[in-house]
Amino acid sequence: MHPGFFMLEKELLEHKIVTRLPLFLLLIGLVILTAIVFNTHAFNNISVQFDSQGDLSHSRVDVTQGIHAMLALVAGAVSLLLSMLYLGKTFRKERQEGSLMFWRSMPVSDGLTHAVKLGFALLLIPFICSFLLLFGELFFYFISLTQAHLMALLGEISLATVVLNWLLFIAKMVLISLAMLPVACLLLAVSQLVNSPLIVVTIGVFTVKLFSTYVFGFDGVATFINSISSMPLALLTSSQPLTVFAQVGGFSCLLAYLLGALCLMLSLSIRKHGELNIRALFSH
Amino acid sequence: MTVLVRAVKVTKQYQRAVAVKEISFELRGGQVLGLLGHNGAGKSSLISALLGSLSYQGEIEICGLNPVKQRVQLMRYLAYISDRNVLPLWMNVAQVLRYSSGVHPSFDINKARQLLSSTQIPLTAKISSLSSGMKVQLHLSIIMATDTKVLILDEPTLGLDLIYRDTFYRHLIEWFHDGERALIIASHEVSEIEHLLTDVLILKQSEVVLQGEMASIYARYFIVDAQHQHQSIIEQMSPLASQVGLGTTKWLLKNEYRAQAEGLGDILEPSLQDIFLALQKEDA
Repeated sequence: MHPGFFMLEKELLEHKIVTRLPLFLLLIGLVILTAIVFNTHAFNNISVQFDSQGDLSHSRVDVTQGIHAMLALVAGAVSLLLSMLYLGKTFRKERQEGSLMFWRSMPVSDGLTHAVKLGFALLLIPFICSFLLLFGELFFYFISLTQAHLMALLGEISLATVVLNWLLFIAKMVLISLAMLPVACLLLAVSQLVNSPLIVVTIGVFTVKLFSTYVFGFDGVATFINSISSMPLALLTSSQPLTVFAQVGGFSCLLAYLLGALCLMLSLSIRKHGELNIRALFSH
Repeated sequence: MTVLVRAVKVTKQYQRAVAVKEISFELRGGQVLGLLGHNGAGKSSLISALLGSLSYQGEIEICGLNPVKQRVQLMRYLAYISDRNVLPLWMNVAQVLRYSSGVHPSFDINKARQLLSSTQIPLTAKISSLSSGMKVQLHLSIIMATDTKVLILDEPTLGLDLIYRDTFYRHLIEWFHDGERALIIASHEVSEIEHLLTDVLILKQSEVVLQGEMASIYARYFIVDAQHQHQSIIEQMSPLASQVGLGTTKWLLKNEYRAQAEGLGDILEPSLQDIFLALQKEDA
């Protein structure tokens, strides 16, 4: 089996919150939903009231779509939170607890280490969180099968729709991960140098924005930072995620990936040389 | 025996200070090098350079490989144990063995389990729950289950009780004689490691003050245990150190004065600790 598999397994063992938080939220969510659904009095008393003007022939309340959007938002937000926390913590923890020398004593390249950490943060964590959505939707699917009086409210839910929604969510999370990639590389580099990378990056970004706007009178940097930093959330809430990339623009995306590549090179160099060595960065 | 470690004019310079200055040595299979020096003499920087975790000037080859550029290949044959625990405390013993077997091509998990079965370390124990001696034992067992050819020990027995020290060195010697291997031991416990060493390299303020085979180093010095009345004569021989006793003083002298000193008192052979202390105090 490829060493990457064992390295991912190690990350799962080390960062148990990645599995425990979604599981905890899933259990809590299911318990609350079960309590609501089986409280039949509550559902018998549900009334929907809305005011409208004009032709109502094509209007209907799409509860199922609303539930899906809510589940996707929760699962996506949890995934983003866990990814950011993990990226800020993973290298810093190794350094602080002293296990860095042990991991480096293994014949594993720095490139593979970075690939595994980025894969864990940007692919595995979203995949784990996608089960929040899958099990939430499966819950409503089984409820619609067993509770006839809810069928009218929820509408018809098919297993194929549940699976399709799950796959679409995963696809959306892949796009979010792509958008997060430059920030992820930045966090990996900074976390090898400071003990509070998330705070340092946040303050650093605000400082750069303020300086460029108020000291140099140029708001292009602030616009660029705003558009790139808001991309993951915009993608998560958008019904047409690909348009978000178009709105940000090709030049901004290209620039973000170039900066991300630079951060990745920096992170690899720090990992390799044990220090920030600008000369070494360009010598190999 | 083939050359396993070759260092040529290795220098490590930080922004304001030189940690290691032009150190050169060769180590062949079957040789055990004692790396001695007071705190801050440059031992740790030299070890970090050998491990490829620190950039340096000069040349280092271990098993014909460059520690920085070919670290991944090199780590199949190079291992390191220090006084500070580097094992991940949050893992249990079985997990660290599984991880090592997954990423280290020459790691024999069955051999590691067999080695651990002769200790009191259970596979289910969390590493954080093990005593310092057990952690060192576990680390040594992991290394002994690989194809390590060069082992670097940095104060390996610091904080261990006498029984663990004895067990550690017994296992180490068994493993060492089991193949063509080289050892580098950095320690302040000079008398504890003296019997293991074939070579010694003493550092003082980043530079080498004594280097060579143990036999040749012993041949360079002698001790004369002379009565106090001979003090003025012996002081003309530029003694490196003196130790006042009851009625007599022990003087550490260079071998070139042996013939002159023979009539002044008993001639004794110095220990490595005597030589080490004298060199550290010289012009201090």
